[in-house]
Formats: sequence, C-alpha cells, structure tokens
Amino acid sequence: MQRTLALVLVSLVVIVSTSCDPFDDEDGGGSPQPPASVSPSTSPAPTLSAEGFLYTSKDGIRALATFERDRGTLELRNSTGAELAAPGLYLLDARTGEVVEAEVTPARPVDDGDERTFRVALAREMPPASIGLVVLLIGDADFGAFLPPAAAEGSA
Amino acid sequence: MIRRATVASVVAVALVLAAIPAASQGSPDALERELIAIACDVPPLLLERTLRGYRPDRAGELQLLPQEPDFVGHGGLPHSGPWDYISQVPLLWYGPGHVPALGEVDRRVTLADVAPTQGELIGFDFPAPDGAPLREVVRDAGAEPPAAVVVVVWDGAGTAVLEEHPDAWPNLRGLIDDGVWYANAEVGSSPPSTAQIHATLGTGAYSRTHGLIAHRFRLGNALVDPWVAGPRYLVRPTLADLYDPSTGNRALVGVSATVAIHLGMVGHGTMWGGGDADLVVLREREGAATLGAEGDFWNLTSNVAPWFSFPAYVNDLPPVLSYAEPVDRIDGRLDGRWRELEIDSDPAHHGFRTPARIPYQTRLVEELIRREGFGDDDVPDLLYVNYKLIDEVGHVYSMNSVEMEDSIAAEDANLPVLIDVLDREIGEGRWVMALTADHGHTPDPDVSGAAAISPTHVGTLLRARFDTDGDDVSIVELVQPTTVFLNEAELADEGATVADVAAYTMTLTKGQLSGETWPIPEAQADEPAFLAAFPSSLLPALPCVPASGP
Repeated sequence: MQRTLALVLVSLVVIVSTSCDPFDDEDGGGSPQPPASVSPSTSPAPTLSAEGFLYTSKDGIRALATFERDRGTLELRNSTGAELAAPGLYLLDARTGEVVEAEVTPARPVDDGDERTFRVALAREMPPASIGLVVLLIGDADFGAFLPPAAAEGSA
Repeated sequence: MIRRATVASVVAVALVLAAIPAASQGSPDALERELIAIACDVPPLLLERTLRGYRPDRAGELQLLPQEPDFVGHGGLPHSGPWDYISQVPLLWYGPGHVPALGEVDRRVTLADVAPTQGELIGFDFPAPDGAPLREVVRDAGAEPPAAVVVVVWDGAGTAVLEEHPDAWPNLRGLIDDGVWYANAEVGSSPPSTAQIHATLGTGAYSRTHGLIAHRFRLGNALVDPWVAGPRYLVRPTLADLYDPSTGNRALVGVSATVAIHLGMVGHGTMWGGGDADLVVLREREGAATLGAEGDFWNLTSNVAPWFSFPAYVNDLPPVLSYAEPVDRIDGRLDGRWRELEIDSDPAHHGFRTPARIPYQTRLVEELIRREGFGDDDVPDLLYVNYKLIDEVGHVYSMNSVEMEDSIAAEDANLPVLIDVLDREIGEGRWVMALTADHGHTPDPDVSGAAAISPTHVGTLLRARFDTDGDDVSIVELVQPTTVFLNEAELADEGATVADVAAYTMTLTKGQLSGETWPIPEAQADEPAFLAAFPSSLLPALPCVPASGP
C-alpha cells in the first residue's frame, strides 16, 4: 500500500497548498495540466436584455434573437478575432421539450468585426410563453442557450 | 474484464501502424481501415457506451482506451471510462404503497430511465429522449400519486464499490426485497462523470443528447466546464423543467448537493421559459480550479445563483463538527481523528470531508422538507439529494480503502434516518425514493495491478512527435482519460491528421507513459499503452457498434 499512501499524501498536500481539490472526476485532479484555453470555473452574473433572447460570450460573440409568431430576427456581432460560420438556432418547446427547428437566412458566415442581421423562420408558431429555451448554433456546433428576456425572467 | 490476449493483437496492429509514415504519406483509406479495425477490437458494449457520450461539436478529436484495468490519470484517482466497474450502479426504487415489493430484477436498464419513471409515478408524461418508465416500478402507478419523489445519489458508489465492501450496507440490502432493485443498472454513457450522469438523471437523455458530454468539452474554440455559464450548455429539458410549470409552479423542486455539476438533476430553473427558481443548496468554492471543489458553507456560486433560490437558513443549523464524535470513535480511539486524518483540520475541511457530513446534510434535508413544505399538498414534489462523501474518498483513498468502508457504512447508516425523516415530514406511504449512484470508482492500482498512464506524458510525446514547426501553438489542447483535444488547424500546418496521431498513439508503450504517483512496473514497460486510439469522428459509423440497446 506504499503507493496508496503516496496518493493520499499527494492529494492532501494539493488540498492544503493549492486550495485545489483533487476530486475532478475526469482526470482525478491533483496535478493541474489544463492549458490556458480552458475556461475558469465561474463567470460573472449574466446580463439580460429586455429586447429579446441574448447570447454573449467572453470570446466576443453577441447575439440577440427575437420572435413573433413563426418568424424572428437574429442579430449577431462577431468580435472573436476570426470568421464565424453561418449561425443558426433552434428552440425547445416550454411545455413538451420538443425541438422546434428554425431556418436562418441568409446562410452566410460573419466576418470578424462585422454585425449582421438574419431572418428566422420557425417550423411552427411559437408564442413567447411557449419558448422554453433558445439555443445558438454556429455552423454545426451547438453553442448553448440564449438567456431569456429580462422582462420575462424578471429577477436575474 | 477485457481479455489480456488482445494485447497480442494490439501489438500486431501497433507494429503495422508504426510502419506507416506520419503525415498521411501512406494511403488515408488504408490507415482509416486500420483504425476502424482497432476500434472494433474494443468490446461492442464499451463502444456503445462511448457513442452515447459522443457528439462531434463538443468532443475531443482523439478517443483513448487503455486496456482494463489500466487507466489514464494522475494525482487523485479518476473514474472515467466505459468499463463495467465504472458504469454499473445500484438502482433501488422504494416506496411502500406505490412501488411493488418485487426484489431483484435482472434486465439491463440505465439511469436515463429514472426521470420518465418519476414522471409516470406522479402522473406526468415526460418525453425522455433515451429512457423509458421502468415497468416494474410503475406497475401499480396511477391510483394516487406519491406526495413526493426523492432521488438520492450516493455519488461514486457504483456496484463494484459496494461489492468491494459487502458488509458495509446492510440497510440498503435490507430494502431490496421491499422495493425494486435493478441488479443490472448502468449509467448509460461514457465517460461517466458527475456532470454527465446527473444530467442524464434529470433529462432522461444520454450525454450526447443533453449536451454535457464531459467535465471539459469544446465550445467553439474554447474548452469549457459544463456549468461555467450556469445551465446554458444543458440543451434538453429536465423532468423538473417541464413538470413544474405544468402545475403552475405549485410543485416544489429542491436539491441538496454540493457542487454545480450535480444540477443536471434539476435543470434550468428560471432560465427555462415559465420556470421558477427551484430550491438549491450547494457548498461550492467560488472560482475553484477543479469541478469538485467544495466550500466552507452552504451557498450558490455566481454562475448558478441567478437561476435558482437558496434558503439561507440552512447555514444556521448545527455545525458539521457537532456530528464528529461517532466518526472519531470509528477506530476505537477518541483522538480527534478519523483514522489518521485530523477531523478539525484544513485537509478534512473541518469535518466536512469525513463521514460526519452525512448526518449533517440529512439534518439539512429535514429542515428543507419541513420549512418548504415538501409533500404538504396534493401536487407531487420532486426532491434530489446528492451525498458526495464516497466519491471524494474514492479519489483520495481509493475504493479499496478502510476509509471507503467507513464512508459506505456512514451513508448506509443514514438511510433509515432519512426514511424516518420522510415518514415524519411527508408521511408514511406518501413518498417514493430512488437510490442510485452516478458512477463507480477506480480500484487502487496496488490491488488491481493497473498501469496508471500519465496524461501529461501522452501530451508531451504527441507534441514531441508532431509539433515541429517551432511556433508557439500546440497541437495538443488537453489530454483527458478517454480523449485528447487536438488543434486540427495546427495539426494540418504540421502536415498531419488526427488519424496520424491515433496511429502514433497506438505505438506508445506503458513504459513511455509511466507517471510519478503510480510508476508502471518494469515488467509491463514494453506493453502497448492503449487497447485503442482512433479519431472520434469514426465513432458514429463504426460497423461494430450495437445498433440498439436500453
């Protein structure tokens, strides 16, 4: 059990000396090795918009989505330092969780430093109260949810 | 356990691959065929679990799979891989008057079945993407729903962990015949870490569907933590997200846990349209470097606080050290220590990293139920409780340790206490409990004979082999136990592909990848380090992955 004792000692030393827990499931923690591209574990409190569903990232993406019946607009500003692939989005129905597809046109990338407005056509009508979540796509990649409108959410 | 005989075939394939020049100078098609053959040498069940945890937009580019029981890890013991000893978990449903006393059921089920089963019990049709109501549990559902369904997670207490200490859980064992016990339950997807599997519990979906595929995943050009932005990266609803608004938010939804990666059980709170601020109690360190970092008091960190509500009164309850004396006496001595660990010390988190935390947290749960009124009306409520001690002990002391025995015994001894609380506060015959775990743990390498492969050395060797252009951009972004995140653009600049990296990885030996905490024995030094390494993009089209399963 000599190596087990070493494990315990390593773990406890890490706890005390670095305020870092050795409990990260996927690498066991203890010996930090992530590169600089790994994000910190917490982020500032979110900023909401009364105008619509807002998506902001520290990488320089700002997107605002608004909807009326089965249509909408998506404004996307790219300050990431690189071109962004054509954006898209989908909605989740608040009552059923069903994915509601959306067609975003024109299907064009957004250059760094540019801001573009896209048209959104939803697969079906979605009254504001029926929207559970709005999720941003950049190309084929799922970038996660927009934040809900401030007026609807109220407190955050 | 994977046949050791496969080592010979791995060696043979590795020799073939070693002869293939890097930078795709050979035929890409031939290389891809070789890599598909390597992938298909992995048992189909392990591939199926891996596929359920894979989505191309968020995954690492290279899949890694050591030969069981070997693992990739250093520092604390990880638990990340598709093997049975990590994937298989206990699953007990117990609720006199609501859940039949069927005892053991042998069919294979997954934790994606938990949320739709809860839904069926409370009369809510939850459209789980990958799970289904467990027919044995809901056999008698429908007459009168329970006033509350309580999901209890013994974090890290996989089946193999419990079997290692068979005498440490008599109370849980004693409930088997009075409920439904799934002896062949598994988490569903791989890698099976806390964030992914708690989200599977909440959404009834495998991680490829709900989006939280790992503790680090790709989001554009960044690698992110699953809860760094609150619930934003969870892209499917939980049972609570849909059910609570369907009651006009009259249902109570609450969580007692410690870190945000447990919150996939509950979901999005007010981020979900029509949702309210569900009750959540965590104990997480703000800005911590690792995802399991617990704090010194109950709280919500800033990334999740906007979407949930925190009942501040929980910090007024008796302190954890008031529960320490029985822990101190475990080894027959009253010396201020749990075994060798001083209880009132920083490493013990002043009692919180000892079995004292179990009754301490249960007292909190009792207070939560009483003050908030769980089970008080005719709208069924949902309560989720994560006890994390077993997981922490597994990382630090290993699943084979006496500390693990103590921890399982502590959680088991708490079980009748929790049942008493539910009977007293909600009422006998008015609740149902599901008890499970989110994963197992890795045996002590001294016990299993495992080779611990250093992720640092994997990265170093890959960089040494492929990073030759002298710029400051690395081809390796992050090495995790089952995957490597690669910078494909930089790799292309180097004239190489992910397939080339996979082929080279298959030539690495354990001796080249030996870490410091568990040096690999000399006798294993020349053995291949990996059973399989292949581009993740091959996974969906592999001809050898089972087409269906639970």
